[in-house]
This record gives sequence, structure tokens and C-alpha cells, in this order.
Amino acid sequence: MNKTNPEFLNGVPELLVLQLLARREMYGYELVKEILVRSKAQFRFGEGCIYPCLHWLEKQRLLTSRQVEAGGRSRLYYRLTPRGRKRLESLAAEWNRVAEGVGLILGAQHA
Amino acid sequence: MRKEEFVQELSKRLARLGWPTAQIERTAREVSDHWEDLENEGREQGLIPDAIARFATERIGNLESLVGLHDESMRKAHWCGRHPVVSFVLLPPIALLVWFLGWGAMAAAAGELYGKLLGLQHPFWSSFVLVLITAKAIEYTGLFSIAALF
Repeated sequence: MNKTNPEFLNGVPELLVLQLLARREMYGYELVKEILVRSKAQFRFGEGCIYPCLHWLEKQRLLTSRQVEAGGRSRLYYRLTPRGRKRLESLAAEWNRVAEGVGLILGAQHA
Repeated sequence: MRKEEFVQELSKRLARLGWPTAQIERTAREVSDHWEDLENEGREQGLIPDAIARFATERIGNLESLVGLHDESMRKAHWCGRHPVVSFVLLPPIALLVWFLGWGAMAAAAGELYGKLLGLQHPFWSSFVLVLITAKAIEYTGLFSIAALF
């Protein structure tokens, strides 16, 4: 059984979820599939852990949700709010800064 | 584990943590829907029923971790949850002290005014304040005693 990947919980899920929902609204399963496909399955995590993350982001008013009936099923779709978009910009900038720093150190070691 | 068992157990654990019913129902519905999607994915891959159940259980993740994450996200969403020591240890006595001081100040002002209106020379308010604070202390001691019974 998949255990929750600790790395997946330290700010990364927030960034990934916000980034993917910035493109279009999605429901939980769809979002997980998108993460796995786009990352080429680099992350291993219990898929249920997407929901605490989504609920928390919604409570922070970074996301909003709406119920959609489709194909005889009712889905809860999440989308980014303007506040979420701002948070995404700041998180992405922070991530790029860290990645650049780490890249410089790794590059220096390999040179 | 089957979907129904998993969702039921998740709901039970969240209820035990004191979650509101609406929030539990929403979480259960979402996890249940996700489980169904995983079962469909398993079917599309040509898995047999037993393997489909295992596939979904494996992918949805560990129940303990999931309950822990839900609880953490709920606590993180509120100021009290993020600062439990301040909220439940430091603030209550400070609030109580402010409450008593507020009552004391109001009583002092009322006593002073009353004394002036009646033309009393004696610092009349001090005894008034003392009586009021004693009454409040008795009231709160009573309340705490009742709370301590539980």
C-alpha cells in the first residue's frame, strides 16, 4: 500500500495543485492523474491525500469548488481564485529560486 | 479493503475527531468517487475483480495517513489549531484576568459615581468592588467545580 510520500507534503503539493488548476478546473481524481502523467509518475503518494490538500487550499480561499453533474455522477470541481493565482506566482518564484540555487551547487560539484 | 468499509471507517475516524457532519459527508463522497474512478481504471486495464479491489486500495493510500492528513489540514486551517498553546494555555487565564479587571474597573467607576451622587466622603467604592469581585470569584469557582466534574 502506498504510504504518503513526505516530500509530497512540504509545499510541493500546494504548488502542483495550484499550477494545474490555473490551467483549468478539475476534480480530485482528474488532478491526481494529471500530476502522475505530467510528472511521468515521479511522485508516489496515496491518492486520497489530495483531498486534505484541496480542502485546506479552499479554506485559505486559494481555491473554490462547485458541484457538477455529468454522466450520472456528481463531481466536485476545483478552480483557482484570484488570491490563489497570486499565491501561485509567489510559490513558483520561490521554487525557481530554490531550484536555481540547488542547480548551481550540483553544477559546481559536477564541474 | 472494500470501498464501503474504507469510506465508513474514514467517516467514523473523522467523526471521532469532532469533525462537522457536512465536512465528513463531503470527504466521504469525494473519496468514494475517487475509489470508483480507480475501479474503472482497473477494469480498463483488464484486471479481475479481486485485483481491481487491491489496485484501488493500493492507489487510494493508507487509511491512517489519510485520517492524519485530514486532521492536520483541518487544524492548520484555524488560528487556534496553528497556535494551540497560546489558544488553550496562555490566553484563557489572560482573558479571565482582563475580564475581572474590566468588571473591577466598571464597579469602581460606578461606586465612585454613586458615592459622589450621594455626597459620601468615605471611599465607598472600595467595599463595592470587593463585594463584586468576591461574588464573581464565587461564581467562577462554582463554574470551574462543575467543569471539573466532567
